[in-house]
Amino acid sequence: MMAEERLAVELPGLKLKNPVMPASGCFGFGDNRYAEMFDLNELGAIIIKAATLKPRIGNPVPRIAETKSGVLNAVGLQNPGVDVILKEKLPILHKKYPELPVIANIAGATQAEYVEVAKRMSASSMVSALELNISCPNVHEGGMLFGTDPATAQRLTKAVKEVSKVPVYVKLSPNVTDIVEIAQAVAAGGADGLSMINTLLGMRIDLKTRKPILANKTGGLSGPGIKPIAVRMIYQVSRAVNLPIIAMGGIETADDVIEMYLAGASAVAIGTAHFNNPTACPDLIKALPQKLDELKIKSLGQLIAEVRSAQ
Amino acid sequence: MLTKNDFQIIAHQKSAPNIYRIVLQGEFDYAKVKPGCFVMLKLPDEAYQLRRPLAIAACDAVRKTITLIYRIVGDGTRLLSELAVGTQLNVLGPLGNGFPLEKVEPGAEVLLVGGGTGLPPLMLLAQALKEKGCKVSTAIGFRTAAMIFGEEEFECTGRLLLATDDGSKGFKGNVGELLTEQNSTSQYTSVYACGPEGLLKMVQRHFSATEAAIYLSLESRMACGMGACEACVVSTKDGILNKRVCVEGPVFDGREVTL
Ligand SMILES: Cc1cc2nc3c(=O)[nH]c(=O)nc-3n(C[C@H](O)[C@H](O)[C@H](O)COP(=O)(O)OP(=O)(O)OC[C@H]3O[C@@H](n4cnc5c(N)ncnc54)[C@H](O)[C@@H]3O)c2cc1C
Ligand SMILES: Cc1cc2nc3c(=O)[nH]c(=O)nc-3n(C[C@H](O)[C@H](O)[C@H](O)COP(=O)(O)O)c2cc1C
Ligand code: FES
Repeated sequence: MMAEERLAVELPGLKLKNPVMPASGCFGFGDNRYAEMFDLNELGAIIIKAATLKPRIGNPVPRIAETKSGVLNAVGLQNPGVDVILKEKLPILHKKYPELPVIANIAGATQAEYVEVAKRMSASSMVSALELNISCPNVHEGGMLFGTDPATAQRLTKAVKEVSKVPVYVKLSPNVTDIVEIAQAVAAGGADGLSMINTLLGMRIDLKTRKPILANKTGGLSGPGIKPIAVRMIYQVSRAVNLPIIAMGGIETADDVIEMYLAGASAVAIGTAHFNNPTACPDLIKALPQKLDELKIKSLGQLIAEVRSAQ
Repeated sequence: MLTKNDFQIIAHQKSAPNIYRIVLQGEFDYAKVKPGCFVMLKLPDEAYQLRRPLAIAACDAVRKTITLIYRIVGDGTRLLSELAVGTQLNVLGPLGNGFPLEKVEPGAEVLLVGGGTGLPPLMLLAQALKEKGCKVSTAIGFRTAAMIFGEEEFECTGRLLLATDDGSKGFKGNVGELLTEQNSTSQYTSVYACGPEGLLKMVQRHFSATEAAIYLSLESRMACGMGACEACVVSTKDGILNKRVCVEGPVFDGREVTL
């Protein structure tokens, strides 16, 4: 089998030449210096920064703090608003990389806002799928609140599905007691797939000032430290819900990618790993075929099928 | 071009209490380095998820070396200080826009104002301004004489105005008081500053009523350094946090940026 085909995966609305994509919030709208270090066409897809109806200025600084094997962020969904994204950001990305599938992360403070953003975003021919962000821990209204109550999550998913012209992946929050319950609720709401996991709510305190390091006080924990939590949650959810899962949470190496597949994932997104290694995504794409050989895996498509049938 | 290449430590020594000077040799786009530019070092320990931003204090395109000067403030810089000559370090850069040198005329009188770890980028700047034929004065402040570093560098690029809080060397007081005492604000066509926020605010206050162009180099907590994550933002006049220190900065027009 050609190296290319071995990595190809197909998900609702997404025909990906490989399963590797930058995670939302860690790659902007592609309008950054990563493009100077590698060709974005190498990516399986790109998940763009959260879009809200109106521009959002985000949280005060410091917005970032480091922990052992992790990062806390409280950026606060800073974005220029859905209309500017559609008019200015996406056309530039699309012109440079016409073949690159775009997954648009959308957020809101109310159900009505989510629905309006979904309607406008999904009407664009440049958008292949939506990632419904019901899990952002860094905003004070909306965000994670939608992702922690099953009934609310189901209602929102249904409302967004009714207006969306493209498949909807619901991005789940790990800040819940029972993630399976939420996954089942959004599946019942009509979700086409799941993205998991978003960041875990955390805090760091400065010993000298005796105050939290982040201006927002709390932030979302990401990076290799959260990978076991992501693996556990994907494992549980994939056994309970028959939806494709885009996995994220501390992925750095080809081993991590395969581990996510064994848990039940169909594709992967990379966030924090970019900070130490700006070419994390293309490096992974290059490393995967050899890892498949080593583990005697024919293709990712076949691995998905094997994992699903063993569940 | 922006690269992340392994550099080798070819010199590494203490230059003042808690202040280290490290010389790294390796390949990157030396032609793109301007005073004020910085690099992000990957720490050689997997537990650290963020690279450390450090300004380029000296740069030699022929020998392919860059010099960084840093203060130990936390775990990352402490780990850095323990690395032996010969160790490889991954360098992402060059990053940032640097000081706009093209806007200053040869012969112009310029002032550099620095404190603490704001001095390294000013060293490269002083050199470049001197080469351009500017008359460079540098005002720098320290807590006490034992903490002083960079004296030689600034002495050989022009006039050095030195202040220590306790008066153990040079003017007794901080750099702001030194500038007030000198009462020489009007002669400079450009003022360049890097250092703690208090020092930058002082420079804004001191020179905003003059004709001088004001350039401030800012620090901010960074994650990507690539303009992608919006972690490092500062606000301009409109009060919106919308300028990224890593790409639009670290040098900003002192009359535009709100501290
Ligand atoms: C553009 C730029 C240029 C810089 N140039 C120099 C220089 O030439 N010499 C020098 O000594 N220092 C410089 N700094 C500050 C330097 O980056 C920090 O002191 C260093 O990152 C601290 O790391 P640590 O692990 O020891 O501290 P910790 O406090 O343990 O670090 C924890 C996290 O906070 C970040 N952080 C802590 N303090 C700062 C700070 N003041 N600015 C930005 N991030 C910080 C770290 O990068 C890390 O991500 C510069 C900062 C920036 C943004
Ligand atoms: C700086 C930063 C910004 C983020 N912004 C968003 C966002 O806007 N929307 C979202 O759904 N997730 C956001 N995330 C979460 C990531 O997309 C991802 O789910 C999480 O970081 C776990 O993956 P990682 O460990 O590979 O980073 C952000 C993460 C980071 C570190
Ligand atoms: S550090 Fe990520 S945008 Fe500046």
